[in-house]
Amino acid sequence: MVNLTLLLIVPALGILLIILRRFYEKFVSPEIIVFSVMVLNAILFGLGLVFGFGNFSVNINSSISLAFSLQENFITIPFLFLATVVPLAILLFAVKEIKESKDIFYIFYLLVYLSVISVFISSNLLIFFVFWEVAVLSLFFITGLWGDKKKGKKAAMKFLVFTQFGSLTLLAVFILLFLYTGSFNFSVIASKMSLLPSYIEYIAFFLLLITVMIKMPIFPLHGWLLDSYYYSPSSGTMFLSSMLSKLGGFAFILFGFGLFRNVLIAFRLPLISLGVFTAVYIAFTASGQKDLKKLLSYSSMFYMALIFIGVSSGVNTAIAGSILLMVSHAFIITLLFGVSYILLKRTGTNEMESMGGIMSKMPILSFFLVFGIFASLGIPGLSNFPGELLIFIGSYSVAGISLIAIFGIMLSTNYYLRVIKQSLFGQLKKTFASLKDISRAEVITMGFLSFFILLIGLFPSLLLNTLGGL
Amino acid sequence: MLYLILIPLLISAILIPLLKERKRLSWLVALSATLVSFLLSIFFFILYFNKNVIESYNWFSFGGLSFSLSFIGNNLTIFMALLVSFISIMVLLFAGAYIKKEKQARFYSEMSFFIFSMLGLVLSNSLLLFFIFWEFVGITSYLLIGFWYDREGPAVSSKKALLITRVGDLSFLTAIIIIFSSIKTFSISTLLVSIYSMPTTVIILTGSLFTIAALSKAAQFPFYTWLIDAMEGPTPVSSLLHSATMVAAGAYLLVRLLPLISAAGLQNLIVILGFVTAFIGALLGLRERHLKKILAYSTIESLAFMFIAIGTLNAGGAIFYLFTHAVFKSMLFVISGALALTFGTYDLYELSKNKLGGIWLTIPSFIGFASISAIPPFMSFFAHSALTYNFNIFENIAFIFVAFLTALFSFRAFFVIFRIKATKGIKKEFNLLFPIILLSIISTIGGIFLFFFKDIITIEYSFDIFSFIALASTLFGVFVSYEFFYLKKGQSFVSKMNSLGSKLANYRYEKFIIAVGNAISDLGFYFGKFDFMFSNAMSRAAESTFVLSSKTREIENGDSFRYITAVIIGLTVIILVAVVFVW
Amino acid sequence: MEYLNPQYVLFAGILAIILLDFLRHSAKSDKKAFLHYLTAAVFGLAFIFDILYGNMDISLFSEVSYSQFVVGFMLFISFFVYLFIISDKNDHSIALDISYLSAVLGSTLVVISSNLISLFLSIELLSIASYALVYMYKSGNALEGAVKYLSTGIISMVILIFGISLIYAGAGTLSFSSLHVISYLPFIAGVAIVIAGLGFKSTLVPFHMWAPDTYEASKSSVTAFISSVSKAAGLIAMIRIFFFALPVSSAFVTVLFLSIALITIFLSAFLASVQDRIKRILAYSSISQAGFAFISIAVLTTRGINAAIFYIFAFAVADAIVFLAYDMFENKKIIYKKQSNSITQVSRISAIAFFIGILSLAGFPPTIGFFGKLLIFYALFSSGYFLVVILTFFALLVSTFYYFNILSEMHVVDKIIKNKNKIKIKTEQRIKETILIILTLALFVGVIFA
Repeated sequence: MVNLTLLLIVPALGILLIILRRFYEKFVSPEIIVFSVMVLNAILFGLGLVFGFGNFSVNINSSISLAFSLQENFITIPFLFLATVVPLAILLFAVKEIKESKDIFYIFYLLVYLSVISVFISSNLLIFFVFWEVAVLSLFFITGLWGDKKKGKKAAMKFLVFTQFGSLTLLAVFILLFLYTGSFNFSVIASKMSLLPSYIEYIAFFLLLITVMIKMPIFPLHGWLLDSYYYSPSSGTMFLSSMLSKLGGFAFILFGFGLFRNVLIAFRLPLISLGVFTAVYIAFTASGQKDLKKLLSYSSMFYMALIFIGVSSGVNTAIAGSILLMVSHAFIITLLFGVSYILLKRTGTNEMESMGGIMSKMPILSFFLVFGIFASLGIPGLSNFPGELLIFIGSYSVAGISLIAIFGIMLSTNYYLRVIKQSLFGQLKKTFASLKDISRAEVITMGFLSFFILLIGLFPSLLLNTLGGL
Repeated sequence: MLYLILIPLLISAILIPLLKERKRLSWLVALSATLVSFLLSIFFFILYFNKNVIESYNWFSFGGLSFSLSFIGNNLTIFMALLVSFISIMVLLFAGAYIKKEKQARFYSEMSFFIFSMLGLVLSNSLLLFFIFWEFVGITSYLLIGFWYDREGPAVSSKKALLITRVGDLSFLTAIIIIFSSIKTFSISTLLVSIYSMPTTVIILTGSLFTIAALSKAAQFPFYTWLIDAMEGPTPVSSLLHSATMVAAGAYLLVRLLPLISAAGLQNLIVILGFVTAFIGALLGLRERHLKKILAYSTIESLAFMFIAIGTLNAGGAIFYLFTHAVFKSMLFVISGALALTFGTYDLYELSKNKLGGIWLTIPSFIGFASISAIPPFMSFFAHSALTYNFNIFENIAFIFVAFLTALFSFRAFFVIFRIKATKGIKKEFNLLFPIILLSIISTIGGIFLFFFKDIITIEYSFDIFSFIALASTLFGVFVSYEFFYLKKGQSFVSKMNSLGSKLANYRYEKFIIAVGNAISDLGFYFGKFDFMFSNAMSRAAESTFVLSSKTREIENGDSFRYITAVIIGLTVIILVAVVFVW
Repeated sequence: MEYLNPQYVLFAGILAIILLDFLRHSAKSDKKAFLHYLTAAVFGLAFIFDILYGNMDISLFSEVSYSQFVVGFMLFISFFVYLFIISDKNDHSIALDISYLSAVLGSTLVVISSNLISLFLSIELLSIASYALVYMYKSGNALEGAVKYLSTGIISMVILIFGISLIYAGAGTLSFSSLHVISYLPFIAGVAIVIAGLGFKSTLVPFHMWAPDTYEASKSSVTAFISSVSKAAGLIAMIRIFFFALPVSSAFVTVLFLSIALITIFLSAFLASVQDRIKRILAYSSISQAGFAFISIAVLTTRGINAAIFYIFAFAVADAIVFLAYDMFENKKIIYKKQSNSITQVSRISAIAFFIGILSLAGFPPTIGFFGKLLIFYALFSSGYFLVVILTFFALLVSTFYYFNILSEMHVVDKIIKNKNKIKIKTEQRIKETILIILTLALFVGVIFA
């Protein structure tokens, strides 16, 4: 039995160690602390998978039903897997990129890490919300302080104001639930959902929808996406795209499907249409991008739209597919942003037209880029495919319109192939004559991500088997 | 245990990039793996002869739905596996001469992976598995076309090839999603028995989607353009992927799903598209100077023949022609590769300056081009008799015209290049000559297979009056070709025909494709702009609150008079509201 | 035992200090410090008695359910603000002790007043002491601030007493227990006027205009008191009258209150976002906090009142922290939010405290600011005011914007991060930092009172 608190205590201790680092500054660098914390946590998670997870609960204030309680729910495991494994890879890019105020950066890093894990395992909605906000704030500071010197702060502010609106609507949902069930405990609420009048269910569902649409994001509430992704430091972008957007999907499944299933099913057609529209719209938008990081940001949103379609269908197959796709997308987008970051550092640009022929100088990097792109395109055997398949099979059974999103995949083929053609293929530019291929650490990190992409792609049942409760 | 056929090549695909020595070892590994697969195919062919063995494995399952992968061993599939592995051995032998030293550690690995996928594809029984391998051959084709990525041509054409075939891939995906939702299984054998329990709309929709998939993979009208550009890839790739095996997968798919296609009533459409493609291929082939591209046009045309046969519900004919075509076309590609190795060009007129000839070159070439034109006694003549078995009168008449054009354009290449008084030949390497000779022998005497073939696959053939009219037309085509291109008569007519051909189809069509491509990227650009503005509009809306805020600041400037005014107004309003409400 | 109440303690303390000061002068000994410690001890004793024995309960004053908690946190905050004030090196006069104690006494009396006249007198006591406090630091334009404060204070008092007299004219009584709503025009007008009169104290729009000027003019540590404890008293008075004394027909009060509250929130949010001087931003933020508390009062349900009281506690603590921390910034001449260069000189702890205080004001978890807002939304939802909540969200977004704008423009977080300069820290600063730490902890621990 591995108690779920351990998963929080370890990173919390890590934060404490970094805070107290001035007493032993010379011996250990913060990166090592963060790394060992995350490795330890990953091991704990692995042990937990084998021996089972123990719940934890401490009452803080019973009049507002505030309790620090941690518990597995029906979709926790895949998300926990994603939250414990992906940041390990992100760390490398953080190490490369962050040179100043490292201590505080890694405190924020561990805060994001800790809070994302906590969101996935909190069974008290207030605690859920607390960590939800901590994650937002930590990323606000990561973007604002370590992001682009000129525009980072503005982008961070935009991110904060947008997501804060989503957080407030989520809070409103929680309060409405509390109002009618008298508890913030998820399982209690789930058992008392019949107490909610139907109009409250509708109101709460639409408030939740706003949260989800901002967080994932889905058209038309995606206005914050580009700036925040683009001006964040690369590790921030990776966190945003691989973890934070998944919080939206997680909340959508946990509450939208777990609690407001009837409303979800009643509105599935307009929601799926919205998802399809977003997918096609954003695929077009991405087609017009000339900058690799911008293109990847939009493409990341494309997959969130597919996930949105899957969850909106309210069919458990499609939802399992969405979860699979979320996990898979986290790995893939981290890999792709990693490549984009390395390219930016080595070539000094992310404009694809000014690259070209990189492949002859950086074959290994090119391999990973092509691998990531193929995984994104849903080539079978790589991780996106089972997720997409399940989403389409599930959602098609309730709304044929969802298949239009496949047209978006066609468009994404177009822009992804353009990435390969413009940056990797073609004649090597003279300015890049002295490029060197990626270092061993980078190979290991990307290989690590690729391993999981392959693993999930080949054995999706590893994750699907944990979703029996859907 | 059919997956055993695939295993050696998978191992080789993974092993080769890890090898240090890149000269011969990787080649040997790939070759021997293919050989093992070939032997295994023979073994299974004997083992499962006239049986129908389905081997099913569960990939994953969720919520009562099982996503299973299954192989099927019967005469057709294992025969295809035999064919694929045999042609692969030939092409790999040739590749050993063509690529002496791998600069990138990927050629043989990708070739192995391709052969693995192709073998998997022909053996699949589950549509899901079929799709998986279908995608695999698509991406390996992309990677291999782009093998010389640093040249502009391969970079562009690899992208084009994958993009166009992906239209088909995604319609395939859509089709299998629809089918799975309808019958809850991916199994082709189950699908074929339960067709009549499916709703008509599903049948028509999925039938059309599968047809689109097949057309795009097989480079049929309107998707044919990618195959011509794909010739930018290394010649072994063109030989194996883009003539003998991968493109034929489109026809193979339709053969496997023939009951579905006929239930959907798509036969006539396929026939019409087949003839359109055949005419386009022949006409465009006529004005091409690049040897490999001429062969590509001929491939398109031959595939169109298979589609026509499928459209006339003649699966056996299609498969036999597929077999024949794989043999002679891969041989022609090997010859073209040999020519390029020796003379460094594929251009017909450049090659013709060399006064080529010689027994090792001329005879196999003649066999090849005669096979394209289906001249007896070569194998393809017999294949044509099976191919045209179900033709009605209109199809036969159209076919006679096609036969003429085919002979005309294929022999053009022969007559332009080869001279009787030859001075030069090709390099006499074992790796080049062995495949050429073996394949030409099969092409020559393979016709007798036709009479035994019905033991393997149901096939019917007839040598009727139309066969002989077509043959006459073919011979006339050869004659005209000889007149025009060997004796160089009537050049003005030839040039007119060339320009006609250009105007007829390609030029406008290419423009259309380019226009669509540009439109998408332009549209993307405007979408990008719109999205940028849209996101900024949000920020502007936020900023407009600051305009509002600055306005409010003017109210509060510390001036006592305003201050008192505000208080008085506030007080009055409160009192008024109170009074009004209560009264 | 019945006299062991905080109010008695405070009162006795005031008398004792006056007496001892008189003795000190006659004995020609200079033991000012002793008197300061005595004052502090008075606070401590009052706090303990509040916890142990509750509040005064005689004719004009009666204890109510929440008074123990409210008086408790008032004493708690006042005590630390007082410690902060006297830890400055300035030579504080004894008048400070006396007026400060009086102000606190006034605020605690407001909480338990059960009669309009005693309420009025308590507020008056609080106000007069506050004028003195503002004036006492003759720094900058303290005089102008004090005068403005005084004049508006007098106007508000006049309005309040006028309203009370109208109520008396209508109802014939001033005791909360016997007051009841009657449909008599002067009475209604009186009630409305009382809202306005108390609106001054609790800085509700449009009676808020004095606040930014006064807050800015007075010393920040004094502002900390005015914007937290004193404002809390004003809001508590609202609760006393409109929830306990006059359970008025809710339609009228609710609509009126909600509109006042929403206008307050929005206007203050807009105004705060265009200010350049940090203290004015904090002043407007303080106004908007009052608006939030007032929204909850407007619901006029027990749930709403409980939420309001908790929220008042939450923002009082946070406001006190923010102003006290800013006091330390102000000492380094940080006036404008864009003065990022000077921030490097302030201490790390004050920056952290300021940061957490702002987080709490902006309503971010896990601070009590968040839980306060949670309770307010809960109260609004349970009475069905969905639209109000959505409107509040927009105001909150604007306030999120300006709060984080200060943080980023002032480079507060950068300061927390880059603690390169090794300034020698004096004892005085140590004390201040300790105070800030304790108050900041309250922002987290306070959730147990929710």
